[in-house]
Amino acid sequence: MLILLFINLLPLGVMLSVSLKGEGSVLRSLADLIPKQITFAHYAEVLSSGRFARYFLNSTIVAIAVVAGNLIFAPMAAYALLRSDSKVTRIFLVLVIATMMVPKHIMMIPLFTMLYRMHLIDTYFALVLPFLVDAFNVFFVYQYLKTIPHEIEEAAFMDGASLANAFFRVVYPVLKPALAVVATNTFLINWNSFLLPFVLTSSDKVRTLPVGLAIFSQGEHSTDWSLLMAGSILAAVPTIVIWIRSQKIAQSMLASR
Amino acid sequence: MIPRRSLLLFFLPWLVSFAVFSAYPIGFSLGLSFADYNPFGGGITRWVGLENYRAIFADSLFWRSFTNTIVFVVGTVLPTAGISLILAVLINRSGRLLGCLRGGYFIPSVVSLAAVSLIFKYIYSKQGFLNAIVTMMGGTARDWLLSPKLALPSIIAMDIWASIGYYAIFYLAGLQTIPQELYEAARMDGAGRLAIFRFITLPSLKPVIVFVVVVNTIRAFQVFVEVVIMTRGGPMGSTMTLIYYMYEKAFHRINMGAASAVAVVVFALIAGFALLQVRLLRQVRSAV
Repeated sequence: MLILLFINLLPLGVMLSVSLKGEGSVLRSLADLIPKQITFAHYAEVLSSGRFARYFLNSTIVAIAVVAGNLIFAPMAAYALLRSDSKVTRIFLVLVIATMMVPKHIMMIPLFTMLYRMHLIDTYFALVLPFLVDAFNVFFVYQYLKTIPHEIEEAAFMDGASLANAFFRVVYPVLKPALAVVATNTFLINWNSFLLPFVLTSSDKVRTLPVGLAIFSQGEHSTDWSLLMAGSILAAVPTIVIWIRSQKIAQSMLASR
Repeated sequence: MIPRRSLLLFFLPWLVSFAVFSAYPIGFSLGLSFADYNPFGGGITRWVGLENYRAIFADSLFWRSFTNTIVFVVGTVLPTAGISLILAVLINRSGRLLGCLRGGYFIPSVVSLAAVSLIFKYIYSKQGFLNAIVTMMGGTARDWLLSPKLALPSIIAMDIWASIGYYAIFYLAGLQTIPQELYEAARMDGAGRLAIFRFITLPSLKPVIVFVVVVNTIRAFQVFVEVVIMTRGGPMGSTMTLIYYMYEKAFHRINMGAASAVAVVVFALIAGFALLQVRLLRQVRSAV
């Protein structure tokens, strides 16, 4: 199994090797995979070109904004769904589940035309606003909230606390494990998302890493593999690190999905 | 006791986001598919009925994309479902290494598909990794992504690699819910490994299999990044897929009406396939 795992991770190893090799990307045999001289020049070149540093910054800004939005709004919606148990909210719950299954491609043209008319194409707003409350997160927190006894915020209401106060002071801290999942999941999906950011941006000013990589790989650098692999590594490292750190949480999320 | 009106307020952000960024776009797509539309001035200029649908159905490139997409979906979904199942069974037996293996196999699926596509564009290139292996074993090097015959299978192979670890996680979760007593009883009755897999593991995992196949089908129908980065639909339309076709129609030919018609067709295809699979796999379950 470990040998199979090695083979499975080989493509990522190829990426790492090519990004570090000082002697170019041509492989005449498998032995060429082991760099004869290791260099970080490709990384330096990628970062100093300015474009990649910008993509990285853009991805970070967008991901943080989207994660923050989901951390605030998804629990609020989930809480409202659970506590106002009426026919209307039942319908809302069905809507939440339905939107989870809608394929993203159908949003491409309407989102583009809508944001175009609002003059928001090629701004951070285009990459953040549509993704602030993900239906999956609402549903996930909703499921988690169900396991928490109603009584915990009752006392707060008795003491005359407002809903916002009771929710953010009393309920919110209890949601921590679910919120960690929401944060990880949202970060991974957002950092890697391509289709909509590809269509909703038109300049390096706001392009995120995956989109930037695609554009970059089509220009004059299309066969500069050492550079492209260094860029790919830079795009992959944050997700791998975050995922490894949150592996346990992520798995409980996947299992409950 | 909980103030109702403020509860509604709590719900508002999602409701607005749902209305503006989900419900409205879906309705708008459907409407647009029956119209002539210019986003850069004039908006909807004319209702054209089924004209957009007629136009795409008469376009041979649409059918090319249609066939390629079906080949991609079948070519990636079935092997992925099978390989990740076997992988999960093997990982599940690995004892102390379980956590490490599960984590290791999952890593490719957290790497962005854009980066993965670039890695494989290099691996498949003339002087890349695959040709180094092929020539070492006595074969001839070739341009995998520049051959109309090999380009689509190459992309499919990459997609399988990128997804098996992800779907194996679902199977693993499913495997861990199967009661050990079932296995013990079977072993006492002298059942072999294959028989145990066939009569205990497989039937118990049926719901997970349905889930994996349906989720992967929905995803595979929307194949796009790979095509943008690796082939741009070429060579000679051999990797043209429906979503890439839709993208070109919308943003290169600025024909939003026809592109929306493609979007609606793909949406219907996905919904149809998903329902069909759920039905089909249910029948298999009752047959087993």
